[in-house]
This record gives sequence, C-alpha cells and structure tokens, in this order.
Amino acid sequence: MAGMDTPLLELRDIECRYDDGPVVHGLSLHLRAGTIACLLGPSGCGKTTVLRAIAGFEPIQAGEIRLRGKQVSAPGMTVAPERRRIGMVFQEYALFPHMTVRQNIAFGLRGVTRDARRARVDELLALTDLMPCAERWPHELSGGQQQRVALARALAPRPELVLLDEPFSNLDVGLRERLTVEVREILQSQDATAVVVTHDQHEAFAIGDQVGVMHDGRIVQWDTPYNLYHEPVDRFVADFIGQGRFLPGRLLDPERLATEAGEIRGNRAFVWPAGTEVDVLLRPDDIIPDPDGPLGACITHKAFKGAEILYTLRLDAGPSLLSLFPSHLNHEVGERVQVRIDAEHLVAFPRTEA
Amino acid sequence: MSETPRQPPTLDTADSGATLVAAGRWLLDALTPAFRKTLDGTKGGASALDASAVEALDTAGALALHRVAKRNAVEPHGLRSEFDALYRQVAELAEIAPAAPPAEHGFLHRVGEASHAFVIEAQLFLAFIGELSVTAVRAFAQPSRLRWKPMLHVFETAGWGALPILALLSFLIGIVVAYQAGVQLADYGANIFIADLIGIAVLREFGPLLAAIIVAGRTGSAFTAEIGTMKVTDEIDALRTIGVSPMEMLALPRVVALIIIMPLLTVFADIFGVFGGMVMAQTMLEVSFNDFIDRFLAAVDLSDYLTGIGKAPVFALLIASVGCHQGFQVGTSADSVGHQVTRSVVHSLFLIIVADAIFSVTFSMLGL
Repeated sequence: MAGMDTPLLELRDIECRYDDGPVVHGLSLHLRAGTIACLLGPSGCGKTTVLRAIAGFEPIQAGEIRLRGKQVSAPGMTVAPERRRIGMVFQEYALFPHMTVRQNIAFGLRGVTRDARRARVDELLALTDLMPCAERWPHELSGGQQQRVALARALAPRPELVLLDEPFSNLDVGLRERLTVEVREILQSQDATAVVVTHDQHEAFAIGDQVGVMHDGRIVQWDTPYNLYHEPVDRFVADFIGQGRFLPGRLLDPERLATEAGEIRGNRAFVWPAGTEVDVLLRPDDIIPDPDGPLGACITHKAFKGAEILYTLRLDAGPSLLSLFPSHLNHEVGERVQVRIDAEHLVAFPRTEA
Repeated sequence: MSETPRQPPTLDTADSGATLVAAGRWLLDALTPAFRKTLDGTKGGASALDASAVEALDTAGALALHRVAKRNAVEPHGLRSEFDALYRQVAELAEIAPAAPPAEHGFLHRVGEASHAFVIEAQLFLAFIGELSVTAVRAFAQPSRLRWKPMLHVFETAGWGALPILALLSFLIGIVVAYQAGVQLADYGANIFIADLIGIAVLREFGPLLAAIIVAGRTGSAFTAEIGTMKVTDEIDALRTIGVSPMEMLALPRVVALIIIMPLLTVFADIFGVFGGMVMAQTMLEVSFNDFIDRFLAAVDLSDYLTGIGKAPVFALLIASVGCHQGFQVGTSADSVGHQVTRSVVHSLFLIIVADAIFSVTFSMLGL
C-alpha cells in the first residue's frame, strides 16, 4: 500500500521521440487518486503520445513513469500495458464487434466467479443506462451508446486509473455536452482517477478538475480551468484558451496601463518597470456595453451565440476588440455602441520582437 | 447588405513612381488575367506601397499584393486592421518553399535500402517468433490458458472450408503430372511405372506443397486481415489494456490450430492427387485402377508418405506465424491492411518454397 501522499500517477521529465525528433520532452505531472485530469492542446502537441506512454504503448527515452509509486516506464524498460491494470477508452471505442454489449463489458472481468461478474456487469449497465441494450451488438448502437459501453468496459475491473483518448470527438455537439457531464459523474461515482485527452477546451473545462495545456511536447500550464482562463501564464495559453484580442499598451505604474483604448486599471501589480511595452489581453467579457461608457465603437461583425452575441467592435481609437453582449442587446453591423472596459483579471505580457 | 459598386483592384503610382497605391477590391474573381499581367509587369524600385485604399481582400488578393510588395522590397502600409491578419498569414506562408520532390537515388542506394529493410523485417519476424515461443511454453505449461474457441474456428474455416478447392486442385495436378510423365513412359512401354512416379511425386512433394499454397492464400492472408483490422480499430490495444495478451488470444490459437490441421489437409491432397493420376493412367496409358494400386503399394514406402506429411507442420508454422506477424505489423490506416495481406502471402509462399528446398537437400543427404 502506497503512502497517503504518494501520487497515483507520476511522470517525471519524460521524453518520447519518433524517428523525426522528440514529440514529448521534459514533461512532468503528478496525479492524486480521485482526480480527473485533462490534457488539452492543439493537434500534434503530443498529448495522445503522453497518454499512450502512460498506458505503456509507447516507450520513453528519458525520465520515468510511476504508477502507485512503482516504476512502470523508464528508458529501456516498459511494463507491458496488459500488466498495468489501467482502463482505457479509445477514440473509436474499439468495442469487440462479435460480442454483445454484456460480453464486451464482462470481457475484462477475469478471475472472478460467474455471479460476481454478472453482478458487476449489471451494476455498470445500470450506471451507464445501457440495460435495455445489454444483449445488442455494438454495430446496432448509436455513437453515444457505444461510447458508454467503452467506458463501462474500461471501468469493469475497477482500474485505479482510466485513460480516455479524445472520447467525445466522434459525437455530435449536443450529445457531446451531455455526455461530458455524464462521463464525469460516472467516473466520480466509481472513485476513478482519470486522464482525459482532448483538443476541445469546453470539454476539458467540463470534465477536468485539473487541466494541463500542452504545447510542442510539454505542459505549459497545469491549473484549474478558472485559472487557465483568467491567469494564463504565457501568450500561447492566453491565445489558445478562450477568445480575446491583444492590445498594445505601455505600463504607467504597476497597476495602470496606457493603451489605445485609454487607461486600464488592473487588479494586480505588474512586475515590470513603468514604461515597459506590453500586450494586454482583453477577453470578450471584459468589454461591457454601457451607454455612458467612455469608448465609442462601431460593430464590424456579429456572431449569434444564443444567450449572448459576440460582436467584433472597432473602437474609435483604432483597435478591434471582441465583446460579449447579452442576447437582447441586438445591434446590427455598422451600428455604433458605447462600451467600457472592466478587466477584473487583467493579463498582460511584455512585448517581444516578433 | 446593400449592393456596393464593384470597384476593381487597381495599382497606381504616385510621387512620380516612388509610391505604389493599391486600391479597390482585391478579390479572386476581380483579379482578371489582364490585371495580373499588369502586376507582373510593374517594375520594382518603388520605396513604399500604400494599401490604405484596399476595400476588400481575400487570400488570392493578399498573395498578389504580397508579390508586388516583395518585388519592390517594401511592406504595404495603411492596410485596414481587419485585413492585416490575413495579409500577414499569407505573406508568411508564401515564403515557405514548396516541398522538393524526393531525390532519385542510384542503384547502389536502392539495393542498400532494400537490404536494410530486409534485415529489419527479419529482425521483427524473429522477435515475433521469440515472443510466440515464450507464449507457447507458458500456455502449454498451463493448458487452461489455451483458447479452444478460436482454434475450433480455425479448424472450420482453414480446414473444412479448404477441402473442396484442395480436392479439385490436387486432382487436376495429379492429372497434369500423370499426363506429362505418361507421354514419356508410353514411348518406352513403361506404362506401369506411372504409379511409382505419381505416388512418389504427389506424396513427397505435390501434396504438402499444394496444401501449403492453398492455405497460405486462403488462411494466411485471412489471419493478416483479421488481426490487421483489429489493429486499425484499436481492438488490439483495447485487449492489452484489459490485461489480455494478443499473442495468447490471437496468435497462438491460430498457429497451433494450423499446425494440427495442416497434416490432415496434406493427406487429403495426397488422396486426390493420386486419384487424379489414376484416372489419367487409366484413360491414357490403359493402366487399370487395380494394376495402379498394386504397383503403387509396392513402389511407395511408408517413408515417402511420412516425409511428405512431416513437412506439413513446418509449412503450417511458417504460414501462421507470417500471417499473424504481418497482421500485427498493420499501421493505423485501413489501406495498410491490404498492403500487409499482400506481403503476408508473398512472404509465406517464399518461405514455403525455401523450406521445401531445404527439406529436399536434407532428405537427399540423409538418403531418405
């Protein structure tokens, strides 16, 4: 039994390389039991490779992977996936086509009595709401149902760690949102620890307690969804997460910035000396419609989002900004509006020559 | 949106040629061949490019503008901010050189590459055989690990299912061999020796070889396709995460079942091959069935029969392991299944012939 403070999963400075160079390098992460973590990044950032390395499909060239404190991967040493006791849900589900739903879920339950196996399968069928389809074949199921069968199959042997590789990417948008919540609830009800890989930030925010944003083979920020959005550590994260525009500005004093859109006061003290040229990130929710606002703007583009409308505004002062208005504030393209900037979490990065 | 007058793209000069002025709608459909020609015709040497009057810009327009700017070694200024991102992206991408076609390599290079690929392939196959052996030893030490259901499936599809085609082809080969030999034997009046010839040729060579070729084509390829498809759909990886070794679940039952079934198929091929020869002997050489069988029993030793049957398990091992190995070599795309199936058949046929040649040399040295 590992001690209380031993992380369930520990990756230390791992590196994975293919023939044409490293895909993942210097990546570390710790995961405590019961956490649902999410690796988020654009395609090609190496997130699936990390998942496959955790599962034991990819050897690592540097660093080590420990599971329950025991080393499972190191350079030249890889414990086979079949001996890691990990559950995995694949992007295309990988259900066994010649087995019924019940047989698929029962397949991973070995070395238990017939009754125990039956009871566990029934429990999972109930949990995933698949009881009516228990005797059907995978090809007779909808995408969402197949997905839940794959999850149930992975959870059946009560693995301590479940890996999900882009689990929602083959589903339509409506179903995706509902299933994200469902999958999170199912994972939590089984006290499972999970690593989810996705390129969709909405999915990541909905399912993950902790989200690691990956870029070029490393994790650039490992944080809660809230902090990723409001406190991005660098320009890549700021750009990748959420929407927004950068505005050039200059630091007046640690709390105030001068920009083309006027003076903006932040809620934090910036560490750079006054006069530093910076880029300020303004999120759509930082721009508030206000008839008495100091900034006049002209609407250049409009995207209806249901409860809100995303407007692209061109300020009279020049720069273009995104702004989220409540849906009842319906303006046409070309109309003029007054806004003010209310940036509670002001994010700025010193300008680099680029 | 109201209809705006379509202002064609223009490029004029101002300040007596020092400044180029781009204006109008720089869009794909507005960039007429004539206008492109004028763009190409403009001389370099301007020191500025004023793009503030550009009213619309798409990728094609941005590229055209970028070319003008590049020829004059200037950056356009005054471009509206909403076009700026597009222009910068296009300008950046325009600088990426198109991929060079792969260089033609010399004969030596290709031979080297092919040899290297061969060595790698052999290494992988050897690794597979090693893993298979370990799995086999473990499974035989603990027979409950042997999976009977997939083995029964192989008996049915590879054994029972192959009987009709195997019977027909063996019978025809028997006829062909008997005909070719009969023509020569008839010249010497040595008709009765057809029984010796057919007996030894079919039992020692044609029976096992035919059975192996048919099984390689029907079953070796099927093994590759079955395992390869599971690889493509991640089922193999799914098995592994569930804790099931694909070697134990997929490869071993196929190999063991084929080793069991192959000698039986060879016996079947022997019977029909000899029967084909008998039919031909009777119709062409007037050797009756009774005479043929009398002579056959006298001419053919048990050792002839056993050397033929003895090859069958070796052929089976080659076919099944090549088939399974190639299945595991399938990549992530569906078209690689087809590719590996072809390789699987070619490699097994190659190995069967090589093995048969080795058998012949060994038997002749042992005087069998």
